[in-house]
Amino acid sequence: MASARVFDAYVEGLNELLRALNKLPKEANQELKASSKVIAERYMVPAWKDAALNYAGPWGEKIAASVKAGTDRIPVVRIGGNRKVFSGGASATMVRYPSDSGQKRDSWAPFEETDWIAKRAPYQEKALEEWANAVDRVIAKWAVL
Amino acid sequence: MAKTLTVYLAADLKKFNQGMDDAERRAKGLGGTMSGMLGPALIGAAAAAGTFAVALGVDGVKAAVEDEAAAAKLAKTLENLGLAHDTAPVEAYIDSMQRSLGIADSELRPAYDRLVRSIGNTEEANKALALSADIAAGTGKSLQAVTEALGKAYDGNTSGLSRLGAGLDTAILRTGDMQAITQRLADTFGGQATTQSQTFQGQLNRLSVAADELKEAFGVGLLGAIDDANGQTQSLTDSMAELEPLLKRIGGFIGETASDYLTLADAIQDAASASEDFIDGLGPLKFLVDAAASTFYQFLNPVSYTVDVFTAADKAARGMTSGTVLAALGARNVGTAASSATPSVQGLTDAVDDSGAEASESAVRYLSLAEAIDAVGGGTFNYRKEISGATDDARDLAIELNYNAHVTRVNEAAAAAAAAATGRQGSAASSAAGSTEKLTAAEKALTKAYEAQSLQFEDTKASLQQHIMDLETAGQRAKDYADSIRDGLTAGLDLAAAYSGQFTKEGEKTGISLLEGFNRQVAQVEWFGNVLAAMKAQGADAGFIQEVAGLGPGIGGPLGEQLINDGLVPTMSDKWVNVQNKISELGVQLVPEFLNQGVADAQALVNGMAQQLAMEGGRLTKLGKEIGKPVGASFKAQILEDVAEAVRAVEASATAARAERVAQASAQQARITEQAVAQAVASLVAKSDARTGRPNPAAPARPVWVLG
Repeated sequence: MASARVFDAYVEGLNELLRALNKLPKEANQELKASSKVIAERYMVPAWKDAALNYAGPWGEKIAASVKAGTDRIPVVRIGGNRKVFSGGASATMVRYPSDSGQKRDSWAPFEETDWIAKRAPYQEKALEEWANAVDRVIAKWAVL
Repeated sequence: MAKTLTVYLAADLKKFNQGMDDAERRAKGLGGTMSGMLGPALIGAAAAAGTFAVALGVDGVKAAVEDEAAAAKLAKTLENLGLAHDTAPVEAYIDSMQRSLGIADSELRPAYDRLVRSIGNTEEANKALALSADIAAGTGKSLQAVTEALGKAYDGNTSGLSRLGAGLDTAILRTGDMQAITQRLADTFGGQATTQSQTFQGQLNRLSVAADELKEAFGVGLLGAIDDANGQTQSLTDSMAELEPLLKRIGGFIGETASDYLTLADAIQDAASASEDFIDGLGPLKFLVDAAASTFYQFLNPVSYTVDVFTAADKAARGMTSGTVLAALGARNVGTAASSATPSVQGLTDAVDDSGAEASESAVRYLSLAEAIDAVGGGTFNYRKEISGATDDARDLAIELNYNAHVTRVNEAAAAAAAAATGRQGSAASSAAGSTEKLTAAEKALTKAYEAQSLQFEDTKASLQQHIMDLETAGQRAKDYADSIRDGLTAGLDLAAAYSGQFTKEGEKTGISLLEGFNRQVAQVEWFGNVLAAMKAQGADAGFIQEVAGLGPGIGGPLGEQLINDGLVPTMSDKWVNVQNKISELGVQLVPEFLNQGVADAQALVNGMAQQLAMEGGRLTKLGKEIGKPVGASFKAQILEDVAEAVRAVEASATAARAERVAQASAQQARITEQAVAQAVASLVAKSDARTGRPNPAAPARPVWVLG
């Protein structure tokens, strides 16, 4: 599925780390993926769901339902989906940005600027700290092999 | 097509530089740079990843991880069933089963898990597992298939049991009475698993389990050390001290048994030499004996080598102890230096934050000043008032600038302190690195020794396998020989001839009854047997006897008798053998009882060796765990040291870069401030001139605000 990628934080040396992790057994990377998913579910998913539910107006519930943790070595969430979830035939992806910016374009729907995307609770620091611990744990466990 | 939004917790800083605008546009507030917080640690982690390589650890850690997961799964099942208190006894039971029956715990745990889920109590589950192992051994089905069928039967569905080929009739199965069913199964299959474990293959399975346990134990120790990197050097040294005599004892045992075996071989050769008639027939036996002796010699050499390696490793471990002390001292220095540096770095960070906040406030003030200046346009009173206000603001500004300069100086001092602390850390780390290097070298030697020992265990297993194959070949040949003799002797037994012997061709009775005819045949067989025995007594070659026996009592008997009576047995036998050798070099002829005795002795020997090795394997497993712990601990220490070093290096550069940025920002701010004040004053003057009609050609344009 096509997706727009955005990033919560920029970290120096991340690419080098991911390349180095490729040298470890695949079990190590699987373990990191599992840990990352747990972190995403613990920190990222609730923050985005809350933001959508509390600030995205009448579209918030459907958008919140579309927030899911992905599986990757870095914690990741996916927001939106192309399944029709509104009675008019709109998908969660279709209302995601208009509900934030208020830009209606050709829609008749009463979108208003809510800025809900920016209103999510900050989770980056704790999530990153926990993820760094997970990386340390995986490397300590598998780098000696 | 609309796209799903994918939010990653982090991306590399390079992405920030490349796609910052785009990312910011699409996801407001996303993408703060966190390199200062996490980047150095990740760089260190990347450097640490893949630094070490211990071949034994790969299988060992994987096995340990799988074992732990399987044990956790079983423990959870027991907990859910309210049997958590039985977890330890169940694990002990599984361990004893795997060692006694040669079935891996990776098979036994899921089997137990399946059974206990259906049965609900551990005592019955223990019995059911033992029964399942018996059924699996008896039917040739996998343990998993048997336990699945048995588990379903306990659940009330006995159809699976009927498909196992366990000989249960449908009447019993339909009753669903598990007590009766299991009793019938126990009657049918009881003891099969134990019997199988006593076979050669069973012995090998037990050895394989023991070898796997060695690797697993190493992995468990290594992982345990990673979780808890306490100093394990003493226990390691103790392990080495215990391991060395143990291995020597194994070597001694193997040497003794090999010696026994060679004595046996010598006895065979002596016996062969004693009988000139057997000397050529003994050729194939010699081949077997030589092959067996060769495998034992091969077996002995690596053991001796391993003992040498362990001796070297022991010395290395003793040297390592002093290295560990040095490493500990170095690590303590690093810790002290790091502790003293932390407040300085924290102070620097706080100061930089304060500086940023101050700069921001200043910017707001400049803007307010500019707006205030622009708003001026009234009378002199207002003019003076505004000038006065501007003067106050300028004074405040000067105070802000002074404070900023002060903060900058604090920053510089903190940076210098951090740099000094980093230097102290560097020297301490260098000392620790040297000690750690020694420690690592010693432990690598130890690991190699353990790997060699593990390989030795595998070699032992291979040697036993070779013996088993040799013995099976010898046993089969002895059996073939006995079968051929038996066939020759029983060729005279012919019930059809005994029956037809009652009648003439015309169908009239001959007067010889069926029983009498059969008795004559039996007597002829006995006589024929005696003839063959007499030939053997005269030194006939086994092959020659076999050939005569193959002719049957009708021809072979009289032929043998003539050979004996004419004293031709030795001569004919020799000639027979020579001809046979010329025709073909193949064929195995042994004196049956001698061969059987040799096979039995050798079997007992191999069984004894397998049992002894399995027993010693259990002890080695424990030792492997002891060895794995300190190796893992030192690797962890090494990794942490590498990470710390990388973090220090990056922090130092980051600190320098931050200090430079602060200085640049301060300088820029100062430039902006001076410029802004000058321009604002000039603007005020120009506006004043405009109101009073005084020309001012040098009036500047509206300033451009550039905030860094």
